[in-house]
Amino acid sequence: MFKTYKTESFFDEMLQQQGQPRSHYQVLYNRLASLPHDELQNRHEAAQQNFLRQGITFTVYHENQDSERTIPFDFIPNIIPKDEWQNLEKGLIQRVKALNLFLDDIYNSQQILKDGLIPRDLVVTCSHFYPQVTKIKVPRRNHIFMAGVDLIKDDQGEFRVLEDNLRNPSGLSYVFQNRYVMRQIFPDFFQDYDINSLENQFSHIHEALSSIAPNGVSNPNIVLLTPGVYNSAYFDHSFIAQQLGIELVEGRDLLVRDRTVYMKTTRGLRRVDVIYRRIDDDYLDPLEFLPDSMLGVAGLMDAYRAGNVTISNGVGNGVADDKAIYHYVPSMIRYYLGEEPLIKNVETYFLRDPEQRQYVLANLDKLVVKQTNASGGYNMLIGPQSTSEIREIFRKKIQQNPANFIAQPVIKLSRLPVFRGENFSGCHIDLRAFVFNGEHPHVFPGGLTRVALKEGSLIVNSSQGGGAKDTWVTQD
Amino acid sequence: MKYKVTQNTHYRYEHSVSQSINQIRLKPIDDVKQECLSFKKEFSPDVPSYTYYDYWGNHVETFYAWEDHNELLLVTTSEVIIDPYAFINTLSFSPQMHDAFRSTSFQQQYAEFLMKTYYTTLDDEICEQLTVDFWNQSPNPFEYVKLVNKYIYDTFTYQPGSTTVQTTAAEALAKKEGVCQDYTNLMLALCRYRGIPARYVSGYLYVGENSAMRGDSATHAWVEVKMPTAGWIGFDPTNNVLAQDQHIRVAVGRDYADIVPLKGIYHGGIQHLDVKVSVHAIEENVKSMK
Repeated sequence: MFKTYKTESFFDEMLQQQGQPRSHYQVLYNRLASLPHDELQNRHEAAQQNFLRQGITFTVYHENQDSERTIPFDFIPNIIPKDEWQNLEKGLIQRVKALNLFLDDIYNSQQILKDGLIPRDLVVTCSHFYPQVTKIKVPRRNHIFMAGVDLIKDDQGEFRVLEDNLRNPSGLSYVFQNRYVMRQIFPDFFQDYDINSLENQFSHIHEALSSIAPNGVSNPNIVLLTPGVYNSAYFDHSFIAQQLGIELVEGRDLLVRDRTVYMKTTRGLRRVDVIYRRIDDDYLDPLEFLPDSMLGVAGLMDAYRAGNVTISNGVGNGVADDKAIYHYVPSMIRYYLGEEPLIKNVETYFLRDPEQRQYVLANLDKLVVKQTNASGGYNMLIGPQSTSEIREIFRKKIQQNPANFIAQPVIKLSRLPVFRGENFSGCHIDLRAFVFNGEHPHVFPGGLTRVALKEGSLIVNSSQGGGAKDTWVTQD
Repeated sequence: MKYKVTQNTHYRYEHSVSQSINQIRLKPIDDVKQECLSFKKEFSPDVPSYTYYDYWGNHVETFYAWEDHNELLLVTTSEVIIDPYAFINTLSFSPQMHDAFRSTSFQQQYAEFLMKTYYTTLDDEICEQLTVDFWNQSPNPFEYVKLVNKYIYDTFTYQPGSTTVQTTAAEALAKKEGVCQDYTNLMLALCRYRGIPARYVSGYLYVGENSAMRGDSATHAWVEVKMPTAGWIGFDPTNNVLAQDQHIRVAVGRDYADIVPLKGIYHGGIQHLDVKVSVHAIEENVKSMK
C-alpha cells in the first residue's frame, strides 16, 4: 500500500527516506498493512458520513454565496512522541507567558517600547491596538486565557511557530470530534498505543476560567458570548459552552447597569462574572467601539474597567498576534523572561524596510507574502505556485503600502500520508496547539492537526480546502 | 485669563427612553498652561456617574440613566485659569532642533500623532501638491504650520450645516467648506504628511468683544503640533490664529473619534439635542498659581 509512496525532499512524520516507518508509527503501519483495501475505503467513507450526521460544519465566506461544508477527515493520525511533546509544551508555555507580559506592558507602562526593543509605531499605530484598554486592571493580569499557536515542522523536522492566535482561536471542538469519530470507526487503531485522553480537558478549562474571575469570586457565573448562529465558528461556540456547562449567550441576552454585567433570565437579572467571548473587539461594546454593532453589549468596557467582569480573551490582544509583531516575539521572551526561546520563529522580512523590500520584490517567485491584517489564508502570495499576473498585483500592492506586508521563505512543511482510495499520498500538515492560562498554564495534549489536501498545496486552512486528522500524544 | 464656562446639554426624547448609558469628555484639561480650578456637573434626573482618565489623559465620565425618562439635562460648570505668558508666537530652529525633528526617536515618540486615521486620511499626492510650496518656503516646521493654518483659513468657507461629524478631511477638501472640525481634520493631515506630530483639540473659545472669531456657539476644535524642545503649540485654522489664552482646552486625541464630547446608547425613540455654552472672563490676565 505504501509501495508507491514518496517522501520526496520533505520531512515525513510517518516514514523515513527509505520507506521504513518511524518507530512510533511502526504498530499503526503494520495494522494498515494487514487491513484489506476495501475495508479502509468503507471506513473512510463512514468517517465522512459521521461528521455530516453530527452536523459539524463550518461556513465558507464567498463573494456571492456562503456555503456550509464539513471538514474532510483523514484517518492517519498525527502521532507525537512523549519526549518531543514535553519539549514543545515548555516552549509553548514560555511563549504564551511572554506574550501575556507583553500585552500587560503595552496597555500599562509600555516599558518594552521605552527600552526600544520594538519600534514604537508598530505597536501604537497597529489597527489592533486599543487605547480603550489602557490601565485596566485585568484580573490576575491574565490577557490570554486561551491561545491557539500554529506550529509547523521544517524539512529538518524541527517545530517552528508560524502564527500566534490570541484573539478568538477556534477549532477546539474539531479536536474532540476528530477523536470521537476515530474511536467510533477506527477503534482497533488505538490498540497497543497508550495516548493522552481528552476526557478531563474541559474540567481544566473550566477551572482556568473560574480562576480569572474578578475579585476572586468563588463559583463565578461564566458565560460564552457568541455573535450567533450565522458565525462560521458557531458549532465551536455551542459545543464548548455545552461541554463546560456554561450559558451560551448573545449580546441581547446581557445588559450593563451601573458598571455591572447581568444576564436576563426567566427569574430576573443574574450577575455575570466571566465572559468567554467569541466576538471580535470592534463589536463588543457599541459605546466604545463600532457604534452600530448589534452583537455587543453597551457599557461592557465600563464594567471591565471597573473590575466587575472578566472578558476573556482580553480586549486588544490582536496587537500581540499581529504578523509584524510576530517577528519580535523571540526578543520579548528574552526581555521579559531572560530565557532563550525554546521554539523558533520562521524568518520574516519587513517590507517597510527599503533594503528588505528590494530583496523581496526581486524574489517574489521564491517567497510567501502575507498581508499583516488578514487571516485565514486569504490575501496571501505563495511565490513558487503563483502566476506572473498575481505577482504583479502583489508588487503593486506592496509598493503602495509596504508596511501592510511581510514576507517569509517558503517552508517545506512536514507531511503525513493521506488516504486516496487506491493508495496514500504525502500532504503537508500543521498543528494548532491550545494553551490555557488560569492559575497555572496548561497545554492541551495534542491539538488540531490540519492537512492541505490539495496535491502540493501548502494552505491548511479549512476555508481553502484543508482537512483534519486526529492528534495523538503518546504517554510511554 | 480666568474663565467660567457653563455648558447646558439638553436631551429631549419623542417618547420616553430607558437604559441609557453615556460618556462625556467635558472637564477642561489641567496642565502647565491651564489650570482647572473647579468642575461641577449636575444631572437631571439625578443619576450615578463614574470617572476615569483615558489613554490621552482626558477626563471621562460615564453615567447611567436607567429608569424611563423623557428628557435629560446635564449642566457642567468649570473655572479655568490660562497663563498668558505660557505661549510663543515664533520659534527659531537651531541646527540641533532640525536634527531632532528629523530623528527617528522623535518620530517614534509621537507615532500616534503621525498616523493616518479615518478622519485625516488624504492621498499622499494631494498632500504633496497642496503643501510643496509652503514646505519649501518655510525655514522650519513651525513656519510651515503657520502657512498651512492661513492656507486653510483662506481656502475654506465657514459654513455650518455643510458637513457632518462623519465628514473626513478628503471630503471637506473637495467641498472647500465646513466647520471647525473640518478645518482641523485637514490641518492634521497636512501637518502629519510632513512628519509634524499633530493632535486634535476640543474645547471652548472665548470670543469676548471680538466678534470676528468663529466657533462660539458650542464647542470648538483646533490643532496642536509638537516641536522639538517646545511643548504642544496650538493653531486654530478656523480663525487663522495661534490658539492661546482665548482657547480653553478640554480634550486631545488623534482625531474626533478619541475626544467625542458626548455619546450615548439608550432604548427608545428619536432624540433632540440642544447644547448651549457660555464663556465668561472673570478676571483679565491673572497669573496661574502654577
